[in-house]
Amino acid sequence: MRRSEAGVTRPPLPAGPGARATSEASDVALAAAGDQRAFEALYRLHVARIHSLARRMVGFEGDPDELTQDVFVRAWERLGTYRGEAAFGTWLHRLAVNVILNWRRTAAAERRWIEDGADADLLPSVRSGKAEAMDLERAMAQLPPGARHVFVLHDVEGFKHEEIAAMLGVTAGTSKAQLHRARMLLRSWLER
Amino acid sequence: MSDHLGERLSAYLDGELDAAALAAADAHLAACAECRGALDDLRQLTQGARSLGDRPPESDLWAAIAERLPGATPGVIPLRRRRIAFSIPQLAAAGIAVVALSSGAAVLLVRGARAPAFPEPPSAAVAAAPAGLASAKGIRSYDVAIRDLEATLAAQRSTLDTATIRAVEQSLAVIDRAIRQAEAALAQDPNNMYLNNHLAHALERKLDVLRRVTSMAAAS
Repeated sequence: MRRSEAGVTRPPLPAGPGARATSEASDVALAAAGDQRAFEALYRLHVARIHSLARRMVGFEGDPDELTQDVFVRAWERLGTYRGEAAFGTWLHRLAVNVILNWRRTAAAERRWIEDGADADLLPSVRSGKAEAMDLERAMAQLPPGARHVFVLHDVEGFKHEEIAAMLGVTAGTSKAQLHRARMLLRSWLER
Repeated sequence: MSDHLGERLSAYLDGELDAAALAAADAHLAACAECRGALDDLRQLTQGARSLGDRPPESDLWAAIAERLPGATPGVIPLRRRRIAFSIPQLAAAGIAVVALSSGAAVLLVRGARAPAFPEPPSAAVAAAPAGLASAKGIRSYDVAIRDLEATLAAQRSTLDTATIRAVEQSLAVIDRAIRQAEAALAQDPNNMYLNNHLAHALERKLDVLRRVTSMAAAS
């Protein structure tokens, strides 16, 4: 129950976190049955997180708008496989990581990834001063792809090295080395 | 100091060093200002990374996504021919959503109707003008539409599997309970704006569920 400033008891707010969660669950059910409007509601709820993930993972190498579209189209196709074991947002996020990494593999097949291509001298947009959010985002975008993916997945998204290793098809040791490399590059850029 | 911690700095920060390596790193950090500075920087960096907020795309992507949904055309009604079967938990969730939004508030308001009414704030007092109340005519319109859809659904029951029918009925029962609670509360406080909106919302929800389910059945 809420209380107004005068201390008068008011009716509860109708849509608390629990209500949102169950509303999302019903939208998932309806979308899985083919309801596009329910799926749009899910899109609106999760698009910021998915787009942010795509933007950080691809840096300047790809189009996060297009990848975000790919993620939601894929989610629509795969909704029938969602069994509710994890929260829908978790399921969608994991699917997004897979879509983005698959895009990376495809892109890598078409053009060689220059893993050591990030040159500190070619970073005019990384400004000096405090590591404010936008500076950090810009700097992350300019990391070499391998280091960027590990940094985003570990330090931003909270995955463990073993999980990242499995996703990227590398060893946990490689993931750790890439993470340290990313951190040190970012430190040097953000310190300028 | 020539032998800095290097990659062990990240391992130290992430708590991945074993006891012996941790002790060695602590000893090194106590004596090496350069590594302490680097560790502080990395700690600040990782904290910044964890606290990055999410940002939506600059332009809305929904229209482009909707165009790409397999078998879909922009619209409201189900657009794909899928097997029409909700899982029980999914439909239960749909019902629970209504309970969360409706039942608790209705019960509280039923109780509240017996207690002295709380004063409306100025904005709510304006909104509580009679024209804003769910009119009897409006309620009858809902009733007519709901009856029509219930009749349609009854005619299409054979296209839905048993589990789906049972789950839909359970979900509708939850909504009906919310409607009855709102009606009971309104009987005691007919001019309560919140209750009127609450009833209208519950009716709209029922109409929406019926509309969607009958559309899915028709598409099968």
